[in-house]
Amino acid sequence: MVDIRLRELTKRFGQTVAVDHVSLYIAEGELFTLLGPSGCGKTTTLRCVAGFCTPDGGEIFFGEKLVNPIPSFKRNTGMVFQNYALWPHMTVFENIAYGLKIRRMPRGELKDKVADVLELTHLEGLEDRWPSQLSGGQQQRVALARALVIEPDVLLLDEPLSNLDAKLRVEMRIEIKRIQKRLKTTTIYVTHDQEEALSISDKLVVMNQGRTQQVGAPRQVYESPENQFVADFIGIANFIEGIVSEIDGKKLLAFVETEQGFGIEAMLEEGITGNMKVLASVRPEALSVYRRGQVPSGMNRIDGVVRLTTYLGDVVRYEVETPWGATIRADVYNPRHAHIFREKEEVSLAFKGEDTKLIRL
Amino acid sequence: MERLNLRLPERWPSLRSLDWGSFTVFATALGLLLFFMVYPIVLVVVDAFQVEGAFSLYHFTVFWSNRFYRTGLINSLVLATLSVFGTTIAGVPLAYIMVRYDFPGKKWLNVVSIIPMIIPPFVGALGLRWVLGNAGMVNLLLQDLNLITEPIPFLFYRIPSNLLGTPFDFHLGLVLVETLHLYPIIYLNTAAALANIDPSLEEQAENLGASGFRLFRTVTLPLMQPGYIAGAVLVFIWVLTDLGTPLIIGYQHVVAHQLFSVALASYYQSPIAYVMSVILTAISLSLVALYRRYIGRREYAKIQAGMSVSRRTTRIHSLKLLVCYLFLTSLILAALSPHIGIFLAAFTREWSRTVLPSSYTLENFTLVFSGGLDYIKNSFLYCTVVFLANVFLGAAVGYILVRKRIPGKEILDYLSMLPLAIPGLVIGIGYWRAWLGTFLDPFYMAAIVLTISLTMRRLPFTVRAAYAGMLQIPNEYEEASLNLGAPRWRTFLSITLPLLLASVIAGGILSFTYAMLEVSTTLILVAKSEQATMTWGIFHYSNDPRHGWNVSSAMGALLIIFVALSLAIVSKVFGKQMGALFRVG
Repeated sequence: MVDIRLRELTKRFGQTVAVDHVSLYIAEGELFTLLGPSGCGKTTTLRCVAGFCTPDGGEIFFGEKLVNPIPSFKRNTGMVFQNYALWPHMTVFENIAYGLKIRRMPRGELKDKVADVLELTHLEGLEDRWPSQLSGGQQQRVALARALVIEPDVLLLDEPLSNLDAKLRVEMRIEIKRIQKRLKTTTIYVTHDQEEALSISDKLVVMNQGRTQQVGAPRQVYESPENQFVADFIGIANFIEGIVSEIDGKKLLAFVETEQGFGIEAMLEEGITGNMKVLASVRPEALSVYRRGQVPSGMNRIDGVVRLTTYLGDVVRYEVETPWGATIRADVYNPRHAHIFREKEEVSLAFKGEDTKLIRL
Repeated sequence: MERLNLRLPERWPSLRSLDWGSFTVFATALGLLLFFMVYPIVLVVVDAFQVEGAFSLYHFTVFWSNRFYRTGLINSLVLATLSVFGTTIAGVPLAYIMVRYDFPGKKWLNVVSIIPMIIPPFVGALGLRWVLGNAGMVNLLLQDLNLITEPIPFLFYRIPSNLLGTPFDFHLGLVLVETLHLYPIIYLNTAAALANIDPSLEEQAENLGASGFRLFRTVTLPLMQPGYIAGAVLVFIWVLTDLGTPLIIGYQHVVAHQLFSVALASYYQSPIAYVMSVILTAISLSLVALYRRYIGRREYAKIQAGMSVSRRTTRIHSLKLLVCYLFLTSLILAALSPHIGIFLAAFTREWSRTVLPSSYTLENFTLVFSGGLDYIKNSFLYCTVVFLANVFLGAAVGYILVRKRIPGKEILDYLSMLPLAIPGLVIGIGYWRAWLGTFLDPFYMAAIVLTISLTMRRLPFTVRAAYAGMLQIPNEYEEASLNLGAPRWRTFLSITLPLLLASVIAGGILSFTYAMLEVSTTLILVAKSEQATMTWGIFHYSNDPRHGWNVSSAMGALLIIFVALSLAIVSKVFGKQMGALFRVG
């Protein structure tokens, strides 16, 4: 088990910069996720770590060892590919045993190892099947087993769940987390699914256009996005632009004068000073919806007209149009006893200052 | 050192994925193609354009001022064009019926309909002479029935014509022979294209109100056109450069026959033969180039999708079914008549003035197995070497073309497909020009140069098969192996090769069968009978006035059986994708 350091990693494809000076630290035994939209460079970063991509610049360290000059087949990483890449001409057993055979493991020990990993991944009894005879979830497990059985220093997972249906996806990610926690293998996990990333990671990095946007624990990244991209990409955020008019250092609050001329309270962040142009961001679930004018005191308030009401059972999702033409989304959970507003009803949205996060512009 | 390792790739990005193994294979393949394909052709071209070391069009003016040669060129072009028409009339309806209609016996008829491909061109002509010749089965039958008094010259019927003072023929007899032999090329290409059409495209058109002929004209036809044109180009080139058929029918006024005669008479060293070679090569090359331009590179990649059975098949009944059966049976009966003729003639020595032979014997086969055993041995020896060489070269080149980034890769890509466009006759002439008097002199070394030339000419089959095979192997299969610790060579042996082998071997068997059936290069290159092959033997026997044609037929029958067997294997392994191999690149 090792820790991994990327230093100023850069990879270009022709004119496009796929990975742009990415520096990351992944601690021993950590499950670290690279999260971002397609084309953000997360897969290229992973492939550089695996050794399938030669970086144009920067260094990759496993522990103290610089791995740039080491070819992929000597890096001892176990990778799970998006399409699983199970060899169709080998059975499940042969697929899993392949890495051990390469390592010249004696037959008896090899059989034990494969049996262990089959048990770990709940694949007992399937060892003589061909990949084409397996369901998607089983193929996924075989791919995982094949990567794990060699006891890799680093486990690399490239969108491993994207080919599964929604329910199986949730099941498998719990499974992957369980196995990873048990083996304590340093793991890099690539996904574009923010829910997956939040639920599975110890730590994650949000990437966009080849650059890292924010690194942190899931909760930290969700609750304190450092820029508009992160706030928008992880979950959904409503943005209101304004200028900081006043700072209350004791209550750790900042007052923002919006462009539309009303004021809102927000959390005071480090580095926020007076007269600074900021973006206030509020999550939909932090908003409450009231009849026009019935907002309790001490809360921020925005008036608007309901444009769309979507009832989803556990939540009612409103799209509210403000007088200045913006659309704000509000999610009201547990709507069992609440009044459900209809389209065209005039409402006021309320939210607390402590749920309002400021992003420097 | 590590610094250097990081900086180097920035300057030579294409060398990054290069390893020594790949480079060696690349250089070897490129070297072989340059030395054994490009170099001889270049010599021929250079000689055609020079007199005493200086550039000159003199030989071309000599060629053009000779009315005999002019006639030959026009005849060849007319023949090729008419043959494209003929094969289209037979092949396109066949493709449509086979792909779109469902009827009892379809599977069986499908197999039988491509049987004409497994006969060497002039053996087909030979067989047709027994059946459709002036004293053949059909004419004798018609005379016995008192339907005709004079025989109908099916194979020799020609309409003399004239173009700006140069006489030429519409030789409908030859067109018939070529059509019956080559319509499967059109059929296979068109059927593949038709079956590859996404059903939803036609359903969408129907959904918008198109139907019947309008649907066919606006959607189906444009989509199947690339496949059809590929087949048409192949047929055109094939007929243009076909030597065997005019040789057996006895029609000298085509370029291929004239080239052969001139070459023999001049000990393979005539400037006029070079001029003819240049003309034939130029026509084929430009057709292939035009085709590639038209098609772009799409078709190449599409091969991987293979031929999926279209869901748009309708079961037909009554009148429609009757018309289809009528068309299919008459076509297949006509297409099988050469085989019938060959097999009957092979087992008899007494077949004249009667519809069927008057007695049967095994004498012809006895002769073939005593005097002609060398031919059979040589054929198998050469073609086995061709098979092995093509499988290995093809797999290596296909692998490099798909996976590696090497500067100059495009050259290898083009060169490996080039042999499709170079007529076999021209290769033969080029080899004499290049190697006469050297250690590769075809007079002494025919076995070696013939094997090499056949390998080169059939290389496109295995390269294409390997290319298509490689496209079906996701890169991740190899990466997963590298990731688990297997070095490149081990990954290639345990992952890539096993997955690739099925398709490459299928392509290799196809190379084998085509090499067995090869005529033009063989006749030009082989001067001594102890180095000769079965096709050479068939031609040689046919010149013997005493029962020569019967012995030829026996040898031809054997050849057909060998080739049918190997093709049966290929279709077993390769299934329905076989059609893809008959296309031009």
